[in-house]
Amino acid sequence: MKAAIRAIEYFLPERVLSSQQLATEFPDWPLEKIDQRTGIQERHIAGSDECSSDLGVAVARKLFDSGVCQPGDIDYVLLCTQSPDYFLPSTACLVQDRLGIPTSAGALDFNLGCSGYIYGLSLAQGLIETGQAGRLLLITAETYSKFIHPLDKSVRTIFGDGAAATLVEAIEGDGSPYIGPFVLGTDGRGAGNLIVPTGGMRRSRSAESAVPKEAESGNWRSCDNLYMDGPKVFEFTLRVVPDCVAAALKKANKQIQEIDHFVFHQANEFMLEHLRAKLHIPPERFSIALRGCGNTVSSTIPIAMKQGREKGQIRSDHLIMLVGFGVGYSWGATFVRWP
Amino acid sequence: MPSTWRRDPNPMEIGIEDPVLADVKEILGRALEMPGASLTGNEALADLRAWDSLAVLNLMAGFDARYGITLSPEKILACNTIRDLAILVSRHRDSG
Repeated sequence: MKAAIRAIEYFLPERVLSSQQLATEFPDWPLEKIDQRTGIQERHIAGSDECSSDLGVAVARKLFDSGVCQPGDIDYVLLCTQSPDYFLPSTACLVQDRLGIPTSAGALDFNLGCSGYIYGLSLAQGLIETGQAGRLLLITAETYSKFIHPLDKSVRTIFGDGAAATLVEAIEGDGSPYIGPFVLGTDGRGAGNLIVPTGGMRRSRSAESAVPKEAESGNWRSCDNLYMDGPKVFEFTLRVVPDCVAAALKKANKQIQEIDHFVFHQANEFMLEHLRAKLHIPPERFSIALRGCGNTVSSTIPIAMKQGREKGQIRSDHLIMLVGFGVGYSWGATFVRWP
Repeated sequence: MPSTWRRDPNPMEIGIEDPVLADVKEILGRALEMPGASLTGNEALADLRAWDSLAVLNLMAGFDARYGITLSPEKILACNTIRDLAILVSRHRDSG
């Protein structure tokens, strides 16, 4: 049996934060500058009572409503989040119950950011092709906005909340893989460059940690907020992504010209355009899909794939390369094709 | 050939503009949205209008695109002047 992606849906919270609103709040960052740097026009922001499980449930219901399968068909839930409802229990358990997925299903959370979708597909393929799962629901869901200080334009302009649900199924297939091979990588030396310093057991939140301080370029944040060293993360991307792409192509025994479409983690348009040009990928074969939702962390790749399918950029016979990279540092690349 | 035959260009010494310095001025001009030709090379980076983390990002992208070198933000920020930046780029390019 082979693991294959059967369907993808995504869900964005109702509330919208537009670049126009941000330009009004931060007069030194005019609209054109935000647009030119990020390529983002709108980000969706979860409500104060709206958590990752709520986004996960909403997107899974959208998937079930499409008729592709029913909750009773699911025998495994993988849920990727770094903004879980609770330390414990796992958000996947909450989602299983609320969706009415059978209690015989396996369910677990895994904590990864921008590489999370690649790792999720890797885990899904392993579970399905070893016979441990037959119809697996991979959910990616984040509410990073809850970590972000309102006066930190460096991250507020980039990140948006959202969730995606991917149905991965066991199918007979034609002998060729529908998912894989994978190249994965980790470099924990970059941990401090994209981090929420407090809130875990290493450093609890406190009145002191909640005090915001002025940081670089007039941004404000406390230790309870998300911090991103943009130039360091960009340096990591420049050093790792081209090699990761080359290693994945080599492992798949493919040339870059043989790949029909490329979906990279939608970090920001500036970074994506630079990587696209560096790798000599034609624009028509490269997804840019963050205008209406921003960087939704582990959901950017499935959102871009879904939008690519809807726009006809990605077809059933296409071989698609997926590349995720970011917080950790963590990265991965794989290939998918629709059955 | 003496070992000192090949060394870092020193435009101040030879009195002509090093091509790397010209590139750096052009890339920096684009990053800061100002004409590169208006820069002499002796300006302090910290005194330039719009010198911030976004400018550093733009420089990193510009040097990667032009020379295929990845400069760390720390090394860029350790440069005092545009000329220092050109020397940094020359060294990385030659060692790369």
